[in-house]
Amino acid sequence: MTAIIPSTLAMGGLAPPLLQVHDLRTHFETYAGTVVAVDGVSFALDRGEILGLVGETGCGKSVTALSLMRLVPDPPGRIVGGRVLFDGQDLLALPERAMEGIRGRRMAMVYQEPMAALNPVFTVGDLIAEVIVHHRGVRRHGALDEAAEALRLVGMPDPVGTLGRYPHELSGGMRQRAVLALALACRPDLLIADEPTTALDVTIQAQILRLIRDLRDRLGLGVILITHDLGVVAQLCDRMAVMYAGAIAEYGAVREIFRRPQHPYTQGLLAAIPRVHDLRDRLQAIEGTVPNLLDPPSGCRFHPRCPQAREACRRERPRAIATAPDHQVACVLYQ
Amino acid sequence: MRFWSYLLQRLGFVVPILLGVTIVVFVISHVIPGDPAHVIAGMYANEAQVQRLREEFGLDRPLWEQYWISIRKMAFQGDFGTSLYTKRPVLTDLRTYFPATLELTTFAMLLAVAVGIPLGVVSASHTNRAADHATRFASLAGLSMPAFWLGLLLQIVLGHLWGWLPTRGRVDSIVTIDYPITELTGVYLVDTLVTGNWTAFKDVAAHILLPGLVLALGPLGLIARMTRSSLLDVLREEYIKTARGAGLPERRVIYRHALRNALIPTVTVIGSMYGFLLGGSFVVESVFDYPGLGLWGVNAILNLDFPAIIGLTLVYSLMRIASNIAVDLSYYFLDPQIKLAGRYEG
Amino acid sequence: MGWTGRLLASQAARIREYRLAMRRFLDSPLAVAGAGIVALLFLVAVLAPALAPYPGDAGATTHLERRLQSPGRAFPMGTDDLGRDILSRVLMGTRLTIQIGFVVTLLSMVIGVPLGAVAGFLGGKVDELLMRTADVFQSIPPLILALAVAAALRPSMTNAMIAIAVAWWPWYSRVVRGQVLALRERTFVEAARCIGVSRRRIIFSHILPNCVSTILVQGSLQVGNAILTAAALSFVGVGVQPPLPEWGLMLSVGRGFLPEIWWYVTFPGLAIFVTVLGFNLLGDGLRDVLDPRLRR
Repeated sequence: MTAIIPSTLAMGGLAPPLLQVHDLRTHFETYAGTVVAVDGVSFALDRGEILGLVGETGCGKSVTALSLMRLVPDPPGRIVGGRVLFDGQDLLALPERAMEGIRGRRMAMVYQEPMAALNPVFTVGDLIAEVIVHHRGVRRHGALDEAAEALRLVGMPDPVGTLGRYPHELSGGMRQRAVLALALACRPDLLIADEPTTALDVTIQAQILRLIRDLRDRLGLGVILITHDLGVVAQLCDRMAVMYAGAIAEYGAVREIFRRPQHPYTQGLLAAIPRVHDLRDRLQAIEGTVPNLLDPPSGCRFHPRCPQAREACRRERPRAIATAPDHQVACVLYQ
Repeated sequence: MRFWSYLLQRLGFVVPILLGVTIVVFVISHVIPGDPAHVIAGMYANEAQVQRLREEFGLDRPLWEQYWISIRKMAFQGDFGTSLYTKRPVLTDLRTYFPATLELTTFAMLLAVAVGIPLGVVSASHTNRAADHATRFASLAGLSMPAFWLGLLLQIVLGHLWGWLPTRGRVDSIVTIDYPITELTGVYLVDTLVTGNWTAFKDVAAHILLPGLVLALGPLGLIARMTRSSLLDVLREEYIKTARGAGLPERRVIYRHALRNALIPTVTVIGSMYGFLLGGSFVVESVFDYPGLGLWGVNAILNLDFPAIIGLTLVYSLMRIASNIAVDLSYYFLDPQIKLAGRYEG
Repeated sequence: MGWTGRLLASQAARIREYRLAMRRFLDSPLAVAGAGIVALLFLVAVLAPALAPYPGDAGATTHLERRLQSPGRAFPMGTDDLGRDILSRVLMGTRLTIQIGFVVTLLSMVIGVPLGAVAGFLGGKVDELLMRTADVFQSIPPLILALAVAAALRPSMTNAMIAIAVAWWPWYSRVVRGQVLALRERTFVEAARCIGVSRRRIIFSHILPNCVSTILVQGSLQVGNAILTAAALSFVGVGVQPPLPEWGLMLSVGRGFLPEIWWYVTFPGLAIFVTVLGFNLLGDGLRDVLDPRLRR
């Protein structure tokens, strides 16, 4: 099995990015007011690149992913601005029918809860074959063969037998593989994985992550991996984007950011990871709590918790500035 | 697990519940004031005649003895006693009137399901928009409608004013003379269809339409609401996100992926509807002079006709149990987890 | 933050929750319509003697000279077979209807709620027994059961109300039992037990208050049923007795004069319909608002 790793980190380089997100904004209208869930997010993804989208719960990473697929429940959610260029095409401008053609076929998503992600009244084979039939017009018999292929691709033991099983007959790890098989059945170019391992045992986690990297190697998939686990990012991702309160705080190559974190939030996150050889007796936490998105702090969203906050931080929203070839920060300190 | 063992499991509960029901009814009809002997004897009987009647019908024995006697006769001799009112064996009365009620309630149920479920789906797929409000209003209106009032109104408008539909009875007596109906099952719609008796079929259908419609309204509302709410619940599930994320069109997601799951709780409601339908048939049958158990039952109750009341209750309970079992069986087909229970460990 | 500060903060939070719930409620036109109808009903019931042109007609008076007149200026809803103004009777009947609705509901609650709470809390054999009993009661169609009880007791308004309560209590029991089962495992119950609070107090002072919204919703949904059942009983003859202006009773008498005398049957029935509809809309709206799952 040959492994061809396509050229990643092609910044300003040869191949155009697979995905380009410009200033994406998504709001939620609730009875208590408008929640600004995604507040001007921009990033890019190359073919074959694994991008890690990191942040605490509620920072907007899942909503970002849903916005990319245009799966934000409307009402109460609404994508209010920005552009999402997928292979040159603005997804936000497409009619729904066209978007349906892209979902599942060119881009696919996998979620956190494999337990609940598969419809309990259908067999795994039914579910996967349906997607194949719908997008590729293949007949059911052929679709089942391809479904078995997809299951083989994700390393499912006994792919043909699994076709006839119901989701509740599979273990957690197997279910996540089945979900992946469903997502990859039509060999999409982009996979969005929203915390795919959070609900799994540690050993299974490692397997699934390895599988994702494997698939990227074999299929040239572009992957957006959403997680709150920096360890996973370090292991797997080429680039990372740190999100806070609906905006990207820091963005760039993983090694670069780990070596030289510039945004105070990123620094706080990295410092909070307990290290085995550390002799400190207190865990280093970031002061304060995640902001209420109904009434976010003025200026830089992080300033109430930031140890390096200045007067300017309260007044203006910092824009993203490139401080190194593959390293951008949105912080007043670097403007 | 296997289908038959599942069925048998369900049937095991039948006898205890039946016994329980008969006890309750027996106690209620005996413990409270009201002397059926007087009712039978009529207003002009003297004390001696009433006493003789009492002995004749065994009404002077202790309560538990009366109960035991009637249960014994029912279970071992199929003798449900003689109606104190119609003077016929209760079993005969039941056999005469039951098919009509069965036909009416089944017709109403089918109508309610056929209209209620799509209504619920429409409501759920257009939440909080005009269609949703309209269907929710319609469902609640159906639930709030006094059946007897609607029945009377429809009789006035559709029967007398516009003369479209007949308003009384089950079938036109003239039709039965010219086109006699062969009683195969007692369910006239089926009998006439099977024997090709087209004229009689049309007549029976015309007669069942109004009472069936009125009867169906309440359950229709409930089924629509239940479908709506369980569909809304299902649409929140992760696997619906998966289906949408895979690019399946919304229509397919709702009708194929969501509805099958949403039907499971709805089917439960449908099963319990049978109980309400039976109760409702009382009133509807009396309004439309439809010769079914309802009409007969109202008289039985008003006249404190104990054997008839017990027989009636048994029939109703049996029907309810049957519908519960039917619901359970449909779970077997709808929910794979039941089919496979016992096959998969863990 | 001191003790008083925390208390005020939690009160403020509760007020905010109510305000949110109120906004959600007002957002639904159906719920608002229901509330409006019920409010109107109460108003009519209270002001009935003032609103009715012939309040005396609500009783046993007869004016045979104006019997069975069709609706017109003098009698907007026509007159009945004894010459009584139907509009007045309908208006005065509102009092009866509301009374019946609430008394029956309260009675059912009084029977059903404690039974359900005890069954849910104690579990085991007690639960089994109570639930089987409820099962048996529920397996008899409620209308038939109410009919049976009402027929056996001497037919009157009070007895009708008792009969209906006897038929409908199991619904409250089930709902409360479900709630109690869920709440029983919560830590605040365990904490109360640790302190040594008696079981009875736990059920009634700690758990039941948390069930209030569920009970309320169930109640508001059942008022309509109670009214319908009462009307049906009167229609058959074992409910409210003449000369009381109960709507179901009027329908039952009016039936005999069909089809030419259409107004006798139409207006009282309309009143029943609108009343029950109002309560159902309201109950439905309440349920949507109080359903914890819909809270975001």
